[in-house]
Amino acid sequence: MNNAIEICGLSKSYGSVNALREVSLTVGEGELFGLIGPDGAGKTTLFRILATLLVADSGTATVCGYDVVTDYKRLRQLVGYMPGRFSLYQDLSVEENLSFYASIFGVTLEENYDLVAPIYRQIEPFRTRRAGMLSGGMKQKLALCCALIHKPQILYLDEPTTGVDVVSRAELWDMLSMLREQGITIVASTPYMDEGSRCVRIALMSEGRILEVCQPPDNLEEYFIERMRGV
Amino acid sequence: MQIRMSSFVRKEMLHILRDKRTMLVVIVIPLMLILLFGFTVSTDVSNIDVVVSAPVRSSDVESSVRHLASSPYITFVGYIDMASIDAMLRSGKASAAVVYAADYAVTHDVQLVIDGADANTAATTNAYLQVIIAGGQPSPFEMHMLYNPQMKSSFNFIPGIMGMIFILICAMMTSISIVKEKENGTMEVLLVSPVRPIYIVISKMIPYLMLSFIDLIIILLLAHYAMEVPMTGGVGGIIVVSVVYLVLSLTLGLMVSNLVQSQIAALLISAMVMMMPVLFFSGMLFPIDNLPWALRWISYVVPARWYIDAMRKLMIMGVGLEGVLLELGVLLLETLVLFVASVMKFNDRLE
Repeated sequence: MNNAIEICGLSKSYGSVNALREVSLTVGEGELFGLIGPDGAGKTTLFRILATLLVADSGTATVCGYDVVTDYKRLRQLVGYMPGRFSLYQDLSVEENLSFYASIFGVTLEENYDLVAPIYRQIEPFRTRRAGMLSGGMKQKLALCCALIHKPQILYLDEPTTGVDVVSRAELWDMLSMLREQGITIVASTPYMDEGSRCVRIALMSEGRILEVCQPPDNLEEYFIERMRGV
Repeated sequence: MQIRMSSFVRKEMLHILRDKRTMLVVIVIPLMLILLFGFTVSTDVSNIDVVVSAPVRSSDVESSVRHLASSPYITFVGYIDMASIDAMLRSGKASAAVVYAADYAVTHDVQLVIDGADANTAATTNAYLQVIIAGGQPSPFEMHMLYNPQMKSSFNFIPGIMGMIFILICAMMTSISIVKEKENGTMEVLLVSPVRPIYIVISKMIPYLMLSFIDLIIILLLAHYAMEVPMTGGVGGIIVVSVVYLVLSLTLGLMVSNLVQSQIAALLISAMVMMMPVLFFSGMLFPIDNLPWALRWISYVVPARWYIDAMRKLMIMGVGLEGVLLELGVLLLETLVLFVASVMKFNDRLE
């Protein structure tokens, strides 16, 4: 299996805070990879570096064979990124948001309708509603549609299920599994241990370090707490 | 890229149309300012209460006083003796006194006593009285007040207000709207897309350019038809110079949005650093020649100063575009410098 993402010795600090310390990681093509860790573990920083939004202090990262610093323009066509905070236009309707994001990637909603259809169908009845008026779960589904609309090769999801009810959380993970079957590489982070089991592999993160990369064990929560105490 | 730009512009228009406060700022405030300054707030002096003191009421004096009293700017209060002038001015029953010399018929000597508590009003009163009295007697001076013979203050204010409104809409609203995307996190998503980030902000400028152009037209119509600003220099020149100033203000807004991270900061910088100079350095409130030399130098880089100068020449003095080439040149140069600087400074990452 080829590696979609190769990360080697990434470090990043904000002033005196070390957000990432010597992080190394590989994610295989077509994998559903989970970053598991508490708030402040460095997950968002890692996503932002991989999404070409931040430049690391040291270390390298390549995505789809492109360096995230030097080839950032090419990478921006290949990746889909859904930030941890709801980042759509609250004053635009569901449909307007989606067609706007489609247009900035030079595609149309009709062209790639099939890809987003399983998710979009659930929010389609509310397509004229302003995004700001949607429930938490529906907001995340819309954000996922927007991140997917241009058929990215790699999808970054920063805590897609935070602030979402249990049923919608399960639905979102079902969708991710389905997207994975279509060959999209997915990296998702979550603070919820139970969601780790939906991934092919997970990385346990804490205080800017990767503690371990493994297949999700059955008793993930206990396992993680044990590992945290062991540090 | 064409399609992307147009969908950006469309999105921006939706933002503006759905935000009632923005619409208020963009349409109502300019109208309010023009009406306020044009009609209500005015430094024009009218109904000056004048008393006359004449030891000898010769026919020459009486004819001069008749001429004075017939002026629409003057309210003739009455004849008094020299000694009570001070009391009349102090009590506010008169704001100026005209004293005719005893040998007025021969010398035509007249003394003006004016309430100088408000320097601006006193200066205007002085000028009015001199012109009116000189008009009623043989005088070595023949006075012509060119371009704005009635000294209407609205003529002076309209270019100033235009200079301010366009900074308000173009610089402030644009910078706030760009910074809003940073605050709401939408910039993060936009950056991770193939759209060159600079297109994002340039397409943000277009709707505001359109809106301020509508404002420009409204202001020009109001100024011409309601306030009778002559604009004999031609509307074409006014529009050309104004559009350059609009683009310059938009670029200022882009610059501000590069420097700040929050909408409040954008608002403060636009108001303090950009609107205050319009008031102080543009000659709208205080003549530039009265500024201390250090501030006068600052005024040379304030775009509004050049714009307002050009507008005065075009609207009131009635010169054509060829008369404001220096002002236009300075504005174009500043636009170019600011644009290059802010595009180079534009960050297509998060930090």
